[in-house]
Amino acid sequence: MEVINKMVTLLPNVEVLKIINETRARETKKKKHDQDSKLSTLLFETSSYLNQTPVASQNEEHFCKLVEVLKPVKLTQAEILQIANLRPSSSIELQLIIEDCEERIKTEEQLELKSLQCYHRWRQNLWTRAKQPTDRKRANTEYDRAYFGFVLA
Amino acid sequence: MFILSEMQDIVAVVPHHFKNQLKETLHNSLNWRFANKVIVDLGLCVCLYDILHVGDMFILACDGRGHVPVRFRFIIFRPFVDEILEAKIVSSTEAGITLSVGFFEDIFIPMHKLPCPNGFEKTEQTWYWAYGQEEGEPPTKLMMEAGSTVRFRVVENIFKDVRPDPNDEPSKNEKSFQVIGQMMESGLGCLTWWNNEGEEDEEEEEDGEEQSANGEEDEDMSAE
Repeated sequence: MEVINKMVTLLPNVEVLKIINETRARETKKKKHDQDSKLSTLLFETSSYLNQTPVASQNEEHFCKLVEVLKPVKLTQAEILQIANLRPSSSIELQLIIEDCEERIKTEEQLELKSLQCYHRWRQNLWTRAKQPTDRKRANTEYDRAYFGFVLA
Repeated sequence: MFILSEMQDIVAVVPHHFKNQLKETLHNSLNWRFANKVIVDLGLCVCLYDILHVGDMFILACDGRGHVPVRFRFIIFRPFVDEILEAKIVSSTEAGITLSVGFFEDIFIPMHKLPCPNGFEKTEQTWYWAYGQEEGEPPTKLMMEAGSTVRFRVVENIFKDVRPDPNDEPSKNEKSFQVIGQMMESGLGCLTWWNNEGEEDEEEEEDGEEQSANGEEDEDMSAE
């Protein structure tokens, strides 16, 4: 075994979740004695973790559009990736992700980033009003759709 | 959190798999070989991304298997330094806190990288952040309980080449891949500490809305 290229690229969690779901589907189609239990366990654990993050209701289209929208802000690949993975909803979280946030990002650009955060308030409303777990899951999905729908619009 | 790595390996295909599609067999074989294994200085292999190139199959003497050189890309879990991640607290000791992301449980925050000022509750075996209020008031103890989700920044990835010796007990507990993090900056630590900023405003709004909703209900009752 030889490692040719240690790091071809960073992968967004959206992409990883998609591949994991495809691999899981392929595994379930196999006969039981052919299935790899270690792989199934690992894929199950990883997809459980990723489904609890904002990535659960994203798709590749959202990610591509997010990259386009954030082009004028001039962020590094790692910063865009973290924004997509974590979906920061406050200025504290943004400052953690973006190095030297106040120096690099001017007021107008910050406002654009903050408008992505404004949907957090809408989401909080849905979340606190929804009492059933299914309602909360629906609230989360609606919020994520809106967050990235804003990006697509 | 995840990276893509290009690797090359020679896969041995057993004769009873010759009737199957080669790519399918290679897919299964590579996942079986690498998934959930740590490659030193690379990371934890998760699953196969794609196969780039399949070489010509050759046969070795006295071996019925066919050997195929394959170039492929694998999804590797290796958070980069200074990345922000979210994980759940598994356990706390006096040395620090162990976190887990489900598929990987060797994330460690040493005690000197926890939010300051802090303390360790021996009875509950949990760390807490002594959040200083205004002067004169005692600091509130914000506990970091097991099971709660926290945000942390990656400081270092430690790789150790652990020798596979089944008789040696200490080597079984050695970790080949460990992620060290820190929670000293503002915004890091339990998610609930930082989410409360927005929630307080929301509670006020919600109370206002509930009162108006109740007012409407009363009107309906009186109308009936």
